[in-house]
Amino acid sequence: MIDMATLLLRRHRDTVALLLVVMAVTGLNVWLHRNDTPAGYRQYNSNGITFIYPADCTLREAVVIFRLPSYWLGDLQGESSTGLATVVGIVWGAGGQEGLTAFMDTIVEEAGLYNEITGVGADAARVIDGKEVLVRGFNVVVGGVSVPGLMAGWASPEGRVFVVYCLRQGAGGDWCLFQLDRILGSLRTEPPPQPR
Amino acid sequence: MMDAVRPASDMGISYLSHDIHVMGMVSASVQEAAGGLARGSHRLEFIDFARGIVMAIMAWDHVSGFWNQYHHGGEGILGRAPPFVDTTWFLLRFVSHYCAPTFIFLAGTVLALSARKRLEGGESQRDVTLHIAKRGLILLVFAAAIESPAFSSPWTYFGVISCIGACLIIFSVARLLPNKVILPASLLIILNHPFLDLSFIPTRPNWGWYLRVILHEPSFDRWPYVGLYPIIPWVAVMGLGWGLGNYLSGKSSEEIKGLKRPFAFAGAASLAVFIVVRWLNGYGNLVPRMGNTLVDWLYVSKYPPDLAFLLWTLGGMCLMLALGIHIQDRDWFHGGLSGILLSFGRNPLFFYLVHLWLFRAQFPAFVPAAYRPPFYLELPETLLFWAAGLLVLWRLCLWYEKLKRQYPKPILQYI
Repeated sequence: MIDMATLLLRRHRDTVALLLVVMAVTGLNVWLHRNDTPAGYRQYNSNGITFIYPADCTLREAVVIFRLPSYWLGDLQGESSTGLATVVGIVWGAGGQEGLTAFMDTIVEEAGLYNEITGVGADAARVIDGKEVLVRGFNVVVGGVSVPGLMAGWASPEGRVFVVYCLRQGAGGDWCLFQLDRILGSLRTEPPPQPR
Repeated sequence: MMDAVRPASDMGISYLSHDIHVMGMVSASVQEAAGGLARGSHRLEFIDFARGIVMAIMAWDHVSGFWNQYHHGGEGILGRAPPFVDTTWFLLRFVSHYCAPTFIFLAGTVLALSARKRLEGGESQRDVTLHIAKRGLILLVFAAAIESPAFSSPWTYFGVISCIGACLIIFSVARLLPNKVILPASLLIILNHPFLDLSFIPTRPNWGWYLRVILHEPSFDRWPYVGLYPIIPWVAVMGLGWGLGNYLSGKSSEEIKGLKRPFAFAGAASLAVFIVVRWLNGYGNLVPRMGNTLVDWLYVSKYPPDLAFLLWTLGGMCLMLALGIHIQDRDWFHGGLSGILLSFGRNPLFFYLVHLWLFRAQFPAFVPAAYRPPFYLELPETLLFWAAGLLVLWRLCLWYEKLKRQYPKPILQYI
């Protein structure tokens, strides 16, 4: 058996060597690009925050809070161009863990001024990439269709609270959870700018 | 091996050639007259069979795309989320994924067989190179003049026919490289093209944008510089097919029959690796799996083709080839459904160009929209249209084979 394997290896020595080279180059590439923005995503980097979001959702500023985003207050929202209701967004403000639930309530209320929001669920604690977050389910009625969504709140160490939300028509539960994991998993914050 | 084939070429009939598939649905008398041809032609009919299957599926994809409201494509462009309204419509599109990879892979296989046959028939390397390059150029012309208008796209649309044309031009020269270079290079490209960064090519002016679309970044964002089948990943698929063609060309009929199990094993292994790649949800997925529904697992990137997509589709192709070898010696193989599929597989380009316009049949653009009937069909109606269209195409393919037999040398040999 061993002789047979040796014989085959000898006969196809060049092929095996080339295959090893291919595997080595591929492995090196995977390792070199391990921290790249994943395919299908873009990176946002401004106002002391960095995160990735789905590439087909072009982010717009000041959708929930009607003022341009700054370090201490702002929001971004992106809608997919695929035709189905697909939205991701992030809102942040000054605050700590104690005010996180109230901040999430405020966003639901603000969104409720312009949309019909139903079925807001209770908060569930979850850990995403080491961040302790509160996850809450909700539904938005779009054109008579109830679109499921999820929002997750997190208090950052430098004194800001963040709420990431996703919603998608159809079987959106898994999709929303996946996007929350991706966005919050990639979310990095910087200390506030020092006064001059 | 060549003894079995030579009588055919002596008669002006070349079975192994992708270019002159005139054997067609041979009548018994032609088969008898060809003597040893039957054995020779039999050997590679499994390729026509597999190609025939994907041609029929491709026709479904296009008829559904033309006539169904809920048929969507564009998987992978910008990592877009699946726009399908339900699993049924997703699967009705998903089945068509086999088409392009099988089409392009087997184009490489038949190209290798054809080139070898021409060389053994006494043609020089230069002649073979020129022939392949000319065929590639003709495909580019067909794409601009026939394929693009059928999709209501500009002539600059870089679709599957343009891609194959460009790949043929590349292979007219690249084929001179040894197999030991072509195969690893193809594998290297398939495994590594997602890491390719073409940002050094400016997207302004438009030629830079178009170059990126053609090479590696499919897009419909900047009209008319649009395309879906970039050369870099697909030329590698053709390279793998070329390797198979070179391998097959040295095999006897019995050895070919013995390939049934390896093909079946390769197909099953590819599907198993596909599951692992999707499960790991990292490398090899240009569209990540965003949940655990069937759609989440199967929604992979076709534009450009990622590793998961190629594992699934080329794995399926291997199973089709194994099935073809398994049934090609049966008495009924040349008749019935398999006979129809064989006729499609022998005339891929003719089928492709004709089916687009057959299924596209619509009122001309100058008829105001208000005067046109509603164009969306229900699913059963579309299936009926597809089946009826395939029967028409079958007869047309048979007619075309007859025509090619009558006129073996002119432009027909390129279609």
